[in-house]
Amino acid sequence: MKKRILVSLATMGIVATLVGGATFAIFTDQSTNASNTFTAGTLEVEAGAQNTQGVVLTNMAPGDTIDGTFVVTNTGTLELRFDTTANISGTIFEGTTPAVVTIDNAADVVVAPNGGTQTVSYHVNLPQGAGNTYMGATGDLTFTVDAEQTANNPLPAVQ
Amino acid sequence: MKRKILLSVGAAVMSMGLLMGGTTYALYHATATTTASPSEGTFVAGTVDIDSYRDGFDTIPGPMFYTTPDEGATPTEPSFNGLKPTGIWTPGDTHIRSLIVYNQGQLDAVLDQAKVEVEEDTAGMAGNMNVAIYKVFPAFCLDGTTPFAPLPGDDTLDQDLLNEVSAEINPFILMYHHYFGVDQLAQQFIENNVRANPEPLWSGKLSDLTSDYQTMNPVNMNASEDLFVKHGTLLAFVVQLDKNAGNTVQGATAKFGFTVNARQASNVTP
Repeated sequence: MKKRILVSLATMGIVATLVGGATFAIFTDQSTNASNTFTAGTLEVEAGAQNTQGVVLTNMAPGDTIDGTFVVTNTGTLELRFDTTANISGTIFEGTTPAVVTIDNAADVVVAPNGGTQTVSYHVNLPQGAGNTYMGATGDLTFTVDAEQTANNPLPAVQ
Repeated sequence: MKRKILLSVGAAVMSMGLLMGGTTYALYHATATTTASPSEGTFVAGTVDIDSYRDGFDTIPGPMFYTTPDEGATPTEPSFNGLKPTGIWTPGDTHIRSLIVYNQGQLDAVLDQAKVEVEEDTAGMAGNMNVAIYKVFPAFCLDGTTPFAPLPGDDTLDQDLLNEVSAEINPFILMYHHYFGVDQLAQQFIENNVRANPEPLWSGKLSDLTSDYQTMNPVNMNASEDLFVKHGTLLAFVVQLDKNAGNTVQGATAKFGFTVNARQASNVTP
């Protein structure tokens, strides 16, 4: 009870100061809810050792298919989905019957946060009809993985 | 009884006699004093005194919003963790938490300003967060049948009604991951059959609140007639990490204090 009285006196003291400080002062009081913490998650993706993985294409004969895989790891704290695109360069990808790259799961692959992984499979095919112009041709193939958050980010409706 | 009367008469006669004898020039006169205050001429200023407590399932004091249970602990009792952390925020995440503000002073007060104290924000999250503040009142009375009608000019609820509206909204605000605009709480309540009415008080960017007090729609907090019965109002704080926050806030942490300001209700031209 004593404590209560002291507190009121202290409040009145503050009030008096306020009144003295500004002639138009009115009685006010504030209450604060302190230390609200907001931490944003992270979105980080790794493919193999780096964000792009290079493949060297050599010694392909017409009709050959090279199959490969690489692993995508979600090193962030948020669930993500990613698209994979192939970046091609070199003579084997040029001309009238170039080598063709297909990716089995190229779009919207979901990976769990904190170390979840997904494997991407791809195939490189040099068509049967590729003629002698492709002898000795070379190519470089890299993959780019583009990731985005899945939460609050619905996929556009499929028409 | 008889004796008592006799005594007072005797005392009265004696004192009159003494007074008259003491001053020869005395005239009979009478003075009446009217006091402007009921308590014998003493002027006592009333107090504007508000206090606030986080609501939700957390029955112990602490911040409304916290990412992990230990960040939600009571500052004086760090062993009591918060029960409902938000978890880490993804752009677009919307979380709602509630604060009960009591008028424990002797004067009717009006709650009409809000502010944010930045305790920590190195990545500038404040500029990427949207905030709306609502007053929430029940849609139905305690008996469940009659629609609740606020008293004109008084937005406070007694403790039973505050408990009731808490019980009504808590399951909704804490049940799942939300994704909606901070100004859509009323619509969300309707869609989810939450029997409470949110009245918007303020909305904008969190960074708008960091420089100075912002004016809210007023909440009338009349003083309780019984000092031992607390009257208060339930405020909902809806906070969103903006969908377009971008990579600059990845992994960032910010700490804010939410402050509400009350003023005396009388003699103030808003």
